[in-house]
Amino acid sequence: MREIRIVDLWKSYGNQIVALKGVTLNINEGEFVIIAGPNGAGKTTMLRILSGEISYDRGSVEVYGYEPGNLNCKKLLGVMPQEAQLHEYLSVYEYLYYLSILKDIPKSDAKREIKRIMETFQLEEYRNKKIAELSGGYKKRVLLAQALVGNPQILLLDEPTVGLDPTMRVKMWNLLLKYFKTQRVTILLSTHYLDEVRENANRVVVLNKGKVVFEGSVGKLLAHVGYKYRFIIRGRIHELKKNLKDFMFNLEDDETIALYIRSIEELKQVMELIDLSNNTNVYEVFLDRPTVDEAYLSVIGNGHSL
Amino acid sequence: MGTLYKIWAIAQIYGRWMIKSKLFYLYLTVFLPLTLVIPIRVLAYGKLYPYLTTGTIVFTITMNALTTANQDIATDKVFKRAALIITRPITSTTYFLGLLLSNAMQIIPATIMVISILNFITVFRVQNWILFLISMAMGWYTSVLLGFIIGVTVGTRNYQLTILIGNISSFILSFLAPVYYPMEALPVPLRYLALLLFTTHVANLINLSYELESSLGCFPSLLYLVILMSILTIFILPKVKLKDFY
Repeated sequence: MREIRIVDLWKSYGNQIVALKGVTLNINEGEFVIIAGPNGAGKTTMLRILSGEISYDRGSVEVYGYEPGNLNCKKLLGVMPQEAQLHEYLSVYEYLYYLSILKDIPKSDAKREIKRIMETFQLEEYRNKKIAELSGGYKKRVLLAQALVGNPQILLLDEPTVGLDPTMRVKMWNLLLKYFKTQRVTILLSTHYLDEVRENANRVVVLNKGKVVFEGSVGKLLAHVGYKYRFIIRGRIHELKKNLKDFMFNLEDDETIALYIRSIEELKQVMELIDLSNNTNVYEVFLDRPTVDEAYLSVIGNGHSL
Repeated sequence: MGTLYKIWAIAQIYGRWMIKSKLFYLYLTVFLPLTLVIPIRVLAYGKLYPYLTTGTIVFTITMNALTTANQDIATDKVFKRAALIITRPITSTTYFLGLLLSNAMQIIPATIMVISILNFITVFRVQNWILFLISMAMGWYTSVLLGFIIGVTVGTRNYQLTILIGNISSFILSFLAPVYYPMEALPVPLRYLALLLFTTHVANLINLSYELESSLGCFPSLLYLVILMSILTIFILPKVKLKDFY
């Protein structure tokens, strides 16, 4: 099994900003890993080191056995940078075509490859349109499309949906996830929209101030939040509070209380106590699970303190 | 073959704007040098007409090649435009040669147009075409290298400053060096300074290709340009590295 191996990675910009402080991480071939963290946590720096764009100060990095920046390493990669100005006077087709040549795709195959990519990303309609004339969402689509040219084995995607409206975000995720499911590809994805990709990610790595503060499955991240269910009751709170004082709760407003339930047994207990069938103090109830965003916030220290 | 093909692809990526925006291309590359011909033609007296031709050619090549090279690198660095190129399996030499080819693609048509128009409106008789072409090629290559050096070395965050230095340099090289006028028109101390500017030597070689009189001679200018091009090439190649590009 090939892997991306990062050991005690340090990177600073000048004398003042230390972007990565001893990051150690192993990513197996075929894994879909979300890199999360607040702005300035070191996500982009890590991805840029892996893509060979920037050097690092200390530690070691191997991408399937190659040093980042090595030509053989670059052949494996599809990179979507977070911020990159495109050569906007080129048409979508021209840009993808020239970039595919730089990816070592023979001229005879390049046209077929671009056709495939444009179909995948529903860009055929915009084939001959200048990139400058595309909307922000379609420019992002071109950016993602160029990363997938030549079926790379590793995708490094830096906030691919940032700045997009929800509809376009859903479309982008669908395109990306469809690709992930049909190709044996390793994905490292930095994003702030954790809940939108939680279903497909094998692992979440949370960086904060240049350090890995969490690494594990989405389930493990959710466990970090400290409760399993959130049971929200709307009704006459003063009456209800008396029975629920042994549970963790939070008063949302004068009529709403949120209970943080740690197990199914606790949930059954609550249900018995409030006795929904006969309790006139309860107007309505909701049950939901903690979101990955909440869990993430609790990991980086901005979440509920329970 | 693969590398040549990649160089061609990079040249297309950077140079194709001239085909997409033909009028803008003509405005940037041909309009400015030719507008200068008219007032200078009015001011110049008969003996100086050939220098008007030389000056316009040197200005066309220097301004276009230097500012294009400078802007390509500056835009790549400051706006991270090169991100999609440098993360692909190419070497820094391929990238450098791709930019060089793109520059040539943009400069050659403009120079041919300017020379053709000059042929109609000025006294323009090249006697030694080989020397004429060599001197233009040397002027172009040296200008590109200077443009790259400015783009690479001036602060990566200050795009405007980089462009400003590129433009000022091309104006100094075209107007403070004796390219629109003979060396003898300068006061003696300034002639020594002018000898340091490569455009003085390019203009001298072009003048010699018209068989104009020259106090400099052909060999010293050729030698100067060869040495300068070698030094600049050796200097720039390690600087155009793809890692830590920004």
